[in-house]
Amino acid sequence: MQLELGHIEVKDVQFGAKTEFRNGTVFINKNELLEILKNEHFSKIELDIVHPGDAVRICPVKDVLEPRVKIAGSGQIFPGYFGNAEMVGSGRTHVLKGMTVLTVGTIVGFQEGIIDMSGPGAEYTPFSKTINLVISADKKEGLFQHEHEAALRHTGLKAARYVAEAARNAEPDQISTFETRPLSEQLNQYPDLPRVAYVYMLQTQGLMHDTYLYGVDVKSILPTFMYPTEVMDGAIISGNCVSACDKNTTYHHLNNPVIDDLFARHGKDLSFVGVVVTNENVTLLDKERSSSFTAKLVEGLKVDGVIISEEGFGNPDADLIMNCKKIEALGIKTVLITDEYAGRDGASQSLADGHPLANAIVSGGNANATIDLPPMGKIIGHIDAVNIIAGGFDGALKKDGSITVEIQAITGATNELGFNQMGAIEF
Amino acid sequence: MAEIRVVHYLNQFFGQIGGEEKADITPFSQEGTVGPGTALQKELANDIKIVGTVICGDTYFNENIETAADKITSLVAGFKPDILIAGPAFNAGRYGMACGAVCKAVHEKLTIPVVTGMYEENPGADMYKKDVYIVKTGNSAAQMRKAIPALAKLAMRLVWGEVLGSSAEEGYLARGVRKNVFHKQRGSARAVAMLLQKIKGETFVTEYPMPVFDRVSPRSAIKDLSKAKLALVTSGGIVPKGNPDHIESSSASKFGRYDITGVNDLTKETYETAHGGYDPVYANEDADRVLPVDVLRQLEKEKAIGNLHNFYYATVGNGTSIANSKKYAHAIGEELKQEKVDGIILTST
Amino acid sequence: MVSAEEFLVISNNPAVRGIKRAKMYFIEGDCLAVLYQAFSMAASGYKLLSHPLAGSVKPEYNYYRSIVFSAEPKDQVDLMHLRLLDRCLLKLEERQNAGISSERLALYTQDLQIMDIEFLNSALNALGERIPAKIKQHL
Repeated sequence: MQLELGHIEVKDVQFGAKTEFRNGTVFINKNELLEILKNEHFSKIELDIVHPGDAVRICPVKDVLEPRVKIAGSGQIFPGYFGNAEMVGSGRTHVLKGMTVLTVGTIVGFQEGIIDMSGPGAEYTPFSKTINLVISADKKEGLFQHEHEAALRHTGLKAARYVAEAARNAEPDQISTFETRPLSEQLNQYPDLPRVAYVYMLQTQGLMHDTYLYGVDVKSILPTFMYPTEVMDGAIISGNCVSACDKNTTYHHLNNPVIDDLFARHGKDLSFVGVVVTNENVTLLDKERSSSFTAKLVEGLKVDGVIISEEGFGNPDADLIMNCKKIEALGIKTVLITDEYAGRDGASQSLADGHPLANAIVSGGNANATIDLPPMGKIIGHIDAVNIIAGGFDGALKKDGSITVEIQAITGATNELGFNQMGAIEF
Repeated sequence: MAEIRVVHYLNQFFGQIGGEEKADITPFSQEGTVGPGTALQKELANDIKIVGTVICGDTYFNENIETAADKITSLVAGFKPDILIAGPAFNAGRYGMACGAVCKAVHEKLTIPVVTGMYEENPGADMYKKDVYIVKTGNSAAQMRKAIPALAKLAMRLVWGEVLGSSAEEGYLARGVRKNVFHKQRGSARAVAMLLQKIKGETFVTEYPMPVFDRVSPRSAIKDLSKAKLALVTSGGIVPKGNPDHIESSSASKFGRYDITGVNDLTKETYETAHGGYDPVYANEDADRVLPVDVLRQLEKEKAIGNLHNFYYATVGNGTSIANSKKYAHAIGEELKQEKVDGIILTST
Repeated sequence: MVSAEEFLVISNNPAVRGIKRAKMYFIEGDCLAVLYQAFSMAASGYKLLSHPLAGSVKPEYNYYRSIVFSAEPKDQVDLMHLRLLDRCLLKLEERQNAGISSERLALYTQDLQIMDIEFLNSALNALGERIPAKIKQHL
């Protein structure tokens, strides 16, 4: 499967008369977009555009998406939601690079997902460096959490798809080509290089903890093989709204850095064979079944090593360790990417599970580390949200509007795909 | 420029007073350097001077931790130091405990930087690594030549107020504190690099060393207690009065085996505690409180248990290294197995 | 292999009290109280079926917890599960002093109860799949 990814660099985003891309700027017809997003579940939808450096705090952020559009090849971006669930990952896709679409909304009481566009908090999220189209939606009275989450998710997808149309006829500034061949060919393409696969763990425990593969709830699947380029076309979508620091937003899925970095060395010092997607379910039986199945698939790929990325904290640590143990038992080397929950002083046990075979770990950092966030001129979302923030604690909000909070509240802060440079080491 | 003043803490052996027989000497101080202090001075910069040395016996310290620490702190204060350096203690358990405790007390009371050096298995390391910087050393004084420069180097960085890097970078024992840092590369790139090293069999460094969850699997339960032969083993330090085997009050170097044939009750005339880690008053009054011989004899009489084995084993758990504890446990376990004991009741404090 | 026809749910969530699709044992107290009970039960031979920590809601916010066990104890204690519970307890105990007051928690009560029911439903649905009579019953 071969995909050409064309990056169109976005220098600015503005509201304008017509939705189009012109001279480096994405113009968005606000009314047209609002019309498309209008929906029975929301009493009000507001759109804002924020730039890096703005004195703006956005909270509570639910998902972050990136506008992409398929130019050639089968299927639609976000297959399963749009189109007829045709397979994606081949042909050509255009990406509006440097901007995002953000959804904001209070689904449950414990608000989380802060993005500060400037100040010390900006260091901890990748989305302070992108121009963001922020969609804040107020739910109608009586809307249940399930419906609210689904409505907000669909809103984000629709908005990203709408904005992405501006890229359809634009000339990319840069085109990268990614190719993964069917297994037997791929194994023979670079016979002398170590063979590597990627085990992609997805959060799947229930409300606000779900992920979708071609529109299917990943809770209900058995682990399966994917071509890495399918991920670039939005085959995996986030319905995961809890744990801002280490959940994978749809943007993270689209821009999966493990896939990027494996491709970067593909054919040079490794042969990247493919992706195995697996879930993180609630029952121990499911965890055993999924990890055994994953190990079996990995064995079938005849690889020398795998990278395993986790999503979330606590419960999924058990899946991570099971995957590691069972794959190592086959003689296949593993490296795990996880984050840590080591307490505010950094002195507690970082993970809720462990095993001596998990001897190669890359850390996304300690989510309990605290940060002082200054008051911001503007808050998009809910002002109250900042008071009741997960990762905040009694006395965290000061009279002047500044807040001391654990970085677990910041969107993407300790991402477990290895998206960030931040990590933690032993002192 | 004013010189930087250092005080050095040593035990009776390195303080050149004597060996085990002098381990009970009370703390005292002396001007200038003593023993390894001379080598330490050579490694320190020109304007850093060891102005005094404080010496204390290991046994005295471990049996009088609070008073000894107080006295030592005053002696140290008398030199108006900018930093305290203790040891290095290598693998000597009681010396390590003393170095750690002295450093902690001095740091808290005088708010000056403190540093010591130990082998990572020294019980003092386990106890104090979170409070005090402990330079990693080898496990015996034969490694003194390497330990001294390392100790001096960290001491200088501390007294100059430099920001210390991670434990791996600076050579001190990991304090178990995780701190966030910004690496040069993103996590996924670091993961790919680590995987290639691992696949090729090259050394790699994990960013999170997995803690050792050291668990012993329990055996299956005894089916019929009324037929079982039970033995008592304690790390609570209960010994016959007079402590005939001289089991140390901390960092015990041995365990004892004692005959309780015909003994139905432990009294204050016949038994005592050797353990230096808890208030001994109640255990000395009635050692059954820690080693329940009376209760087991009663159960024997009632035929609730088969019988109580005529020998019990004792050691002191206070500051005893995990390695030694395992050693004693294996030895005791072997003997009890030979004696066909069905179960052991292990008491501590 | 779960051979019991029924499951036992231990929970401190008042919203779970009336469930019909499993036996239920209500626990007064917080999440930690539920975990201690879970530990005792696992040590007595009850088979742990769902993971003691749920979702990504951090422990100090995770006030309500429902955990699924086999309805009857087995002969053998599962040591791996006991260790798992031990480690989860360690994590929870560490976070006891995270500074979240009961007033704050009270603001999220309904949401936390709903989240807990969600996880419980996920678990019971997955477990009930093998028992035809239990498929897709409502709580």
